[in-house]
This record gives sequence, C-alpha cells and structure tokens, in this order.
Amino acid sequence: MTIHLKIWRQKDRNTPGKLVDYTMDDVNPDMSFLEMLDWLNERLMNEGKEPIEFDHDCREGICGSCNLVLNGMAHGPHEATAVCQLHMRKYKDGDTIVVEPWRAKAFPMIKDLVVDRSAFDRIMTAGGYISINTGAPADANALPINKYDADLAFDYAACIGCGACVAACPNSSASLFTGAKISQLAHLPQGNPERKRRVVNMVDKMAEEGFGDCSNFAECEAVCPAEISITAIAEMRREYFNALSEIE
Amino acid sequence: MTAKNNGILESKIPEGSLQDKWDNHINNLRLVNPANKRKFTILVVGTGLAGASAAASLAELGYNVKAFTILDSPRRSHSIAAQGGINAAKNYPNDGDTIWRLFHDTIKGGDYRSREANVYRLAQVSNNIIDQCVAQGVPFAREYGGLLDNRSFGGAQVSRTFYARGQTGQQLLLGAYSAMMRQVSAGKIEIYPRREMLDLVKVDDKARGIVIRNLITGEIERYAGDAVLLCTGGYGNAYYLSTMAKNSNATAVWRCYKRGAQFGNPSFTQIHPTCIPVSGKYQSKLTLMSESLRNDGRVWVPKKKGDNRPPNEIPEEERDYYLERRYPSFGNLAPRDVSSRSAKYVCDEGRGVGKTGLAVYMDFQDAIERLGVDAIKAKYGNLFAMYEKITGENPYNVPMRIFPAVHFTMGGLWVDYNLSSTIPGLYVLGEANFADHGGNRLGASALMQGLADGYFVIPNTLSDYLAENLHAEKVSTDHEAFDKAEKETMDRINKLLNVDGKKTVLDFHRELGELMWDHVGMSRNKKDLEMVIRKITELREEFWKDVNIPGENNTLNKYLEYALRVADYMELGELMARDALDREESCGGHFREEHQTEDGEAVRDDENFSNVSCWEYKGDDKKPVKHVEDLNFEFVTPTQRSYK
Amino acid sequence: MSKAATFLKSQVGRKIATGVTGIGLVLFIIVHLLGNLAYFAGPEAINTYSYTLHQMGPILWVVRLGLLAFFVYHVWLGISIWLEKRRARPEGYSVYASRGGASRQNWSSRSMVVTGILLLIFVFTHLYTFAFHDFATAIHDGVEMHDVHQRLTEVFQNPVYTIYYVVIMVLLGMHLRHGVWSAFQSLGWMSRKSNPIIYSIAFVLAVIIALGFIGLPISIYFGLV
Repeated sequence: MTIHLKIWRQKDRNTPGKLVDYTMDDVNPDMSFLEMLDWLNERLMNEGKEPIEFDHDCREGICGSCNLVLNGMAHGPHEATAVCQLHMRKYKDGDTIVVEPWRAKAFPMIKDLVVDRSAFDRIMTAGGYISINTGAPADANALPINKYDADLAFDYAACIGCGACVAACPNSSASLFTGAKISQLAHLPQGNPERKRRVVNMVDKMAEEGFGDCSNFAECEAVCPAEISITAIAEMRREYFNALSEIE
Repeated sequence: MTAKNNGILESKIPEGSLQDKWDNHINNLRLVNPANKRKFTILVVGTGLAGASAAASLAELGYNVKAFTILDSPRRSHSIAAQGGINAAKNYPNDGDTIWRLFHDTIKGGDYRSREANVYRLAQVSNNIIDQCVAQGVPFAREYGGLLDNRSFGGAQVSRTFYARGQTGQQLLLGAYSAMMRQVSAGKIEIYPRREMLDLVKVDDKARGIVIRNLITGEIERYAGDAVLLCTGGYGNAYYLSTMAKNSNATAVWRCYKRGAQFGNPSFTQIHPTCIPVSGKYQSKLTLMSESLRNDGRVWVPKKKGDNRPPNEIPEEERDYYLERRYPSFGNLAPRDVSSRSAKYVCDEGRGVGKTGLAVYMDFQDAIERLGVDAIKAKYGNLFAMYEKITGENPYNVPMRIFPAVHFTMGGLWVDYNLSSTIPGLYVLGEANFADHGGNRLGASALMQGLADGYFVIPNTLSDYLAENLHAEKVSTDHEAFDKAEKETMDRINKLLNVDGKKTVLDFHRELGELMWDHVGMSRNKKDLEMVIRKITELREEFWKDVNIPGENNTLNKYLEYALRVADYMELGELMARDALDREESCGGHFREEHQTEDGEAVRDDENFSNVSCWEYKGDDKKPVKHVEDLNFEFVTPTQRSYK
Repeated sequence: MSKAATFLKSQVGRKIATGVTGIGLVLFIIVHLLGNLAYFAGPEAINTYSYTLHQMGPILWVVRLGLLAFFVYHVWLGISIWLEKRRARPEGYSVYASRGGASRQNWSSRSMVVTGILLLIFVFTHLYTFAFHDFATAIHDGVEMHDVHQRLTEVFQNPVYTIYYVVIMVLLGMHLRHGVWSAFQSLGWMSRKSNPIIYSIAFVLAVIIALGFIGLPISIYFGLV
C-alpha cells in the first residue's frame, strides 16, 4: 500500500523545523509503524540523504521510548497502544500521516522527532521512591496488603513514562505521570511514612520543570498506553490537600 | 589453541560447605570504613536491574557513583520487558521448596555448566530480593488475604515465582530505578543518560576509567573511577532479530574483552520457543509470548508437507502434536531448548505453517472448550491482545503461530565468585557476565540474577577490592591512558564515517544475523561453523570497505551508533562460532548435530567439557586463546536430562 | 511565604481553588435560578423575594462581597491557567486531534476560558441592566418595594437583549458542563467508578440550569406568562 508521510525534521533546538513530505509505495500491512520508518530511513540512506531520528527501544510497548504524534494524536489513533505496537494494517492505502514529536517546553527538542524527557526523571528524584536501604527489610509477607489496594497500586505503577500524557494535554501538564507515582505509593503501607513530603515535593517539581496546569481534559487517559486513569490526578490532589501540614 | 589456565581463572570459590560458603566469604572480605567510602568513585555502565540495583546499593553505602545509560532514562533499560516473574525459595505455598531445591533446579536446568557455589548463593539471596522489592513498593500480585501470590514456571515442580501481572521486569526495574533516584536526590549518584561506553581505560593493568560517547553531541567524554561495573546486558542482537531491545548491544562488553577481559562460553545462547514469527524482510525485532501459554496451548503442525489449508480445516487426525508425541511425560511443557529445536526440525521437514513456513501452531481450542473463553481470557487476556495487535489475528478463533527466537545469552565476560573479570577493578553483573545459568537459563531466573548481583553480591565483594586499593594513587582523566583510548575511539569513528560505501548498516547486520541464526542458532555442526567463521571474516572486510554511514559525528546519529555496534557484533559473532565449534558436545542451548542420540536428543560430554571456555583476545589478526575453568561438582551429581 | 499562599500558588492548589470557587458560584447560580422562578408565581412573589433579600442588610453585603471575591478569584485563576498553558507549549502541533474514548475534550471543556470571559462580560451588563438600574415602585401588602417584575418584563420584551441572554445562558450551560464535573475531579472527589456517574450528573445539572434560566426570558418574550 501507499502511505503519504509528513514528518517533522529539525536539525537541532536552535534551528527552526518543518514538515517534510515522503511517499512510501511499498508499505506492507504487517509492518509496524516504526518498521515503516526504518524502511524509509534505509531508502533515505541509499539515496545519500540523512535519515530521520526517532526514539525507540523495546518495540514491545513497555520501555516508553517511542514518542510520535500521528495526525495530532500521541501514539496514534489506537487506545492502549504505544506507537511501536501500531501496525500499518490499521491504515488504508493512500492515507496521509503527519508525524510530529512530543511538544512541550519541558521536553526540549533534540533532533527531528527526538526530545529530552529528563524532566520526568527529575520529578522522580523529587520523591518518587520509598526510602529503604538495601539490607534486611522485614519479611515480604510481614505486612499484608489488601488485594484491592495492591491491585490499584499496580494500575498506577503500570506507567511507562513515555510522556504521551504531556504531549496530548492541551496544557502540557504532567499531572497524570506525577499523579500515578504518588497514587501508587499512597496505596501501599510502605509508602506511608513519606507520603506527605512526597506529594508536596513532586507537585512542586512538576511546576518548576515548566509543565502546565491540569484542566481536567482527560486527554492523557485517552492516549495513555498503560491505560492509567485520571483518578490518579484526583488522588494526587487529595494527597496534596492532606499534606497541608508539610507545606512550607 | 588452548592454553593452560596459568592461574588466571582463579574462581575464588570460598571454603566450607555449600551452605556456609557465602557467609564465610563475607566474614573474610575486607571492609572500607565509612569515611573512606566517600573517597571512592564507582563507574556503573548500564542501568538495568543489575546496574540500577548496584548503583543504588553502593551509593547507600557512601560510595560516589556515576551511572551511564545509552537510553534517555535509566527506567527504559531492557530489563523492563521481562514478563513472567522472579524466582525465590520463600516456600510461601508450603509445597516443599527450599534454597537447596531452587539451587538444584537452576543448576540442573543449566545442564551442569555453572558453578555450584555461585548458583547456591543465588538461591540463598533470592529471598532477600523479594523482601527488598516489596519494601520498595513493588506491587507484586497478592491473594485476598493480602499475602504474596506465587505461580509455577518451567523446569520446577514447585510454585516459587513471584510476579506482577505480565510486567514483573518493569515493576522490579522501576523499584531499583526509584532506589537509584533517591540516591540522585541525595547527591550520591550522578546519572549520565544518552551516553555509550566505547572503551575501557586501564592503568597499571587495573580498570580505572571509561571512554564514553555523548550520543547527542558526539563528543568523547572521559570518566575516571576506582572501579568499573559493567551491567550492560546480553548480546542477543548479534543475531539481528531477537527479543532484545533495539539499543541493547555488546559494545561495552566487547571493548572490555579487547582490553583483556576473558569471554566465557560465548556460544551459550537461549532460544525461546514461543515468539511471534517473522513476517517479512522489514521485521525489526521479535516479540516474546510468555512461556506460561504452554500450560494450555497445544503445539502442532500438519502431518503432510506443504499443507496450506487454514488450520481450522485440518482435521484432528492430520495434525502432528509433535511435543506430546516425542516427550509424552512433559508434552507441551518441555524445556525451552528442547521445544525450540523440535520446532526447527518440523519446519526443516517442510511442515512449517504460515506464509513463510517458519512457524508452528499453538492451539488453545481444547483449553477453551475445557475451561471456557472467560477462564482463558482471565489467564492470558493481555497476551492474546498483544498477539492480536501484532499479527491482526484473533487467537481465540485461530491458533497462534509461533516460532523460536533468540532471547538471552548465558555467555558473557568471565567473572570469579566476586564478580570480578580477569581485569582487576572491572566487575561484570547481570546478563553481561557468564556466570549462573550455565548452558540454559530457567524461566524467572534472569531477574533474580540481575538483582542478586546488584543488591547483595557486589556491595560485599567490591569493598574487598577497594580496601586493597585504599592507598592507590588516584588516576585523573588527563592520564595518557585516557589520551590513548580516546584517540583509538575517535580513529574508529572517523574511519567508519570515511568509508563512504554503498551498503547500509542494516544490510550488514541482516547478513550477519542470517549467518548466525542459520548456523550458530538452535542446531550447529562443524562444517557450517567453519564456513560461518570464514564468511564473517569476509563480511567484516566488506563492512569496513563498503558501509555507508549517513550524517556526521557531532550530532545525534543513530546509524553511526548502530554501525559501531554492528562492527563489534561481527567480531563477537565470529568468537561465538569459534566457541561453538570448539565445544564438541551438546549441552543446554548449545546443540551440536555430531553429538546426539539416535532419536535426536542432546549428548553431553562431562569428561571433556565439564568446564567454562574462556577466550582471551590476542589481537585483531590473531586467533583468540582458550583457557578453561574446570567445574567441580562436589554437592550434586550431573545427570543426563530426560523429558521423555 | 505562608502555608496558604504556597498552597494556593501550587498547580494542585490553584486547581482546588478553582474547584472551590466554582462550586460556590454554582451554588449561587442555583439560588439565583430559584429566585428567578418566583417570576412565574406572579409580581408579588418575585418582588417580595427581592425585597426580603435587600432587607438582610449587612449579611447581604457579606454574601455579595464573598461572591465578588470568589468570582474575581475564579476568573483570575482561569486566565492564569490559560496563560500558563500557552507558556508550557511555545511551539504547537501542526495537526492536533483528540483521541476520544476517555477524553473529556469537547466544545465545552476546550472553550472554558472563552465562555468564562463572555460570562464575565455578561455579569457586568447584567448588573448594569438589573442591579444598578432604577426600578419602578410596587406596593404589596402596604410595603413599598422595587418592581422587579415590571423591569424583567420590560427587558425581556426587547428581542436583542433576550437573544443575548439566551445565548449567554447556553454558554453558561457549556461552562458548567465541564466545570461541575471538573470541580469534583479537582477536589479529588473522584474514583474510576464514580467518574462517569459524576460526568453524567454534571451534564444533567448544566442542562437544567441553562434551561431554567432560558425559560424565563423565552416565556416573557413570547407572552407565555
């Protein structure tokens, strides 16, 4: 099948970018979207042109590396699917696809479709952990956790840190990412001692990194490959309110 | 050429009974006092389970840690993709599990090609790993009573596998990553993302630094430290197609090999039987379907060659359930190496299915009839959904098509009991080392080993080395050894960029992969291995004459990174073939056609090959030299595996 | 900075404040709507209602000032969040689309700042038309009071004002369609289960309020009362 691509090309942060047209005539419906880009890159290299840079790694939808906005939707048109798991059979012969990078001030451009998402690591550094040293913690079964909370904690822990929530959010808010980690740890007794300090520090860090406010559009939940619910954001707000005593 | 050991491969296995070795060892290791720990800088390369857990644990102890990853965040390391679970001898289900049993299953599963002491230690610390992870907030599966749930996995008769849905690797990695981020916030770890180690710097024969390429700017950076921890994972991508992530590579390991670290058992690779088959030339990687599916899926191919009918139209009596036929007692649950080989045989006979003929069916129809669709959905829903996403076929109605794929490499840099390579100060952790899985890894053991090495082994053993070097002079990055390493690295990069040939890196990698898969894969023979060694040499020459690298060095350039890795895969591929050729026996994942029974089962040669083959680099134009570490089985008796 | 100031400046605090002020304003709107409905009971009812309110003296002023403070704060928060959003994505997408599904992006949620500003303008004109306008005098049970009934009847016979009012009330409905649900989410009163329920209730409430307000001018204009 034939696919028309309009792909964002940008040399570096300081050079303005633009959409460039490419037409692929030999797209196999069983190809993944990224394999089509590989295919295109091979063609470009054979033509002596510079290939397109894009982030990818596991190609199984779990590492969170891939980050493409296809026709205005983060990770493309299918729910619960990272773009590496999107296959061309979902498109029709002759379709046009506009491919853009995540766009947010907090995710500065590196090159073409690659952006810098280290702001997420810094949010994690602000408190996305439980302070326990390697050593001899109590036996794993010493502290039973009811299945409801354990399952809920897992739902939030499933975040792959891809940043689609930020990319899709009209406000570029990182609330779903931050809320998911806060809510995961809030549902586990192990997370309790640092609960208040954690939410205050992580929420502050999120703003400091330049992410926008959340306006409850819930677009983040719609594009999340790990299907994390915006209940995470509601929980984060509850946690923040309960942490008033820790605010300075 | 085989050289005498010369005492280089001193395994340093401690004295005492198997149960006491690790404790005795800890008691005898030298310590570094807290004030002195601050004076040491440890370079950790790779931030998967082994790297992240080591970095966090060492930083907690007070060492200064610099951690390097080729990815944009440590959280994306490929440990994240492990699905099934992690073993531990907790015996929570009260089904008779013990540390001894876990040890015994693991060493037997590895076809008696690993060290008793190492494997026993692994089983010993397995329980601490679970405790540690739970304390970090890893959301393992739980029962209604609030206690941890276990499930069974291949190669064991007890339920000892802890899991977090189908994403155990992800949850464990995020636990280790969060412990690491805590130390970042404490100022004890500095993380260097999008950096690739391109060389090891030795001063006075000790590892004292690394040379790194900044993948965004292309600049070469130098880092000096008191010890280097290599936690860079396996080298399965030498086969081009594997279940490894696209960026997983062997370059760091290979560069250390070329600086003098010996490579243990390079030919030991694990080929996983249940992966989604290749669909075309454009295929970039393979996706694993969890082994757990074999609990309910029946594997079959048509009895007739070239039977192109849709699977549902092939009547029962014309199907060959070959695993059930050949291995009546284990059936569809035969171990990974055996299942993979059987699939290859039926496809070689021309009975493979699908467009390419390189696939077999895994059929859930009987299980659906027996248990109902809902029960199957509850057990495997997410796997079925993933299969449908990738293939566009619904496995509830049509059988899955599966085929083996390269999945894990048991080989790696040789390490002693302390995880030290043959270069003092260079430690190798996780899949990057050769150690604990022998000739074949059991399911749910890789996560266990990565975390055991990082959380519990290295914090103890490293202090012994550092204590010995407490008064050693600090090396600065101005040292001439750094100049030399940087220059060699730059020369290699420039040489590549200046080839200006016609073929893409992908062309070469695919060619290499095809050679490796066809002849150094599931089944190997002398003639083919000799041919492969010759062909790889030719391919290497062609590569350096005709590869086309686009773009420049001073910017993000993924195909340049890739070319550097492929150049190393070609050298490594040759060593893998050499090792396979040298090992005149069949054991675990290594199957030599010359060494099989009449009905095609593996024949081990314990008399001549109860050992680790360790290869020493002697120069690009010289053959590597093999050294041997003998494996002594004091506590278990090697037996022939049988799954009939 | 005091705890309260830090809290209110944080992203979560701002959102909670938007929700609290929003809920306050919605409660006012509901009371206002109930008051409006008194028109249908005849001149005496609505005039007496208005008179009674005015007799409350200082309490009325407290309520008025509180309402004003809520209103100003709500508007300021809304505008600043909107400004922040522009800052957080300096370079926009060439193509942008909502995925649908769980998304709550729609005409209502995307236009909050626009409908909000129009409502702000409306409030000024509305106060000018009613609160700051001279009223005729009516006498009920011997008490002199403003003839609110007469003023309403007069205003809503003007087609331009009636159309303007109806349009604004539709916009109010849109604002509340997202705003009411959003307030619950902002205050953390939400779970995966209650989310769709609250979203539906918010829709019904928005429709009732909008229709309730529209009912009066339409009835007057077409002479139905």
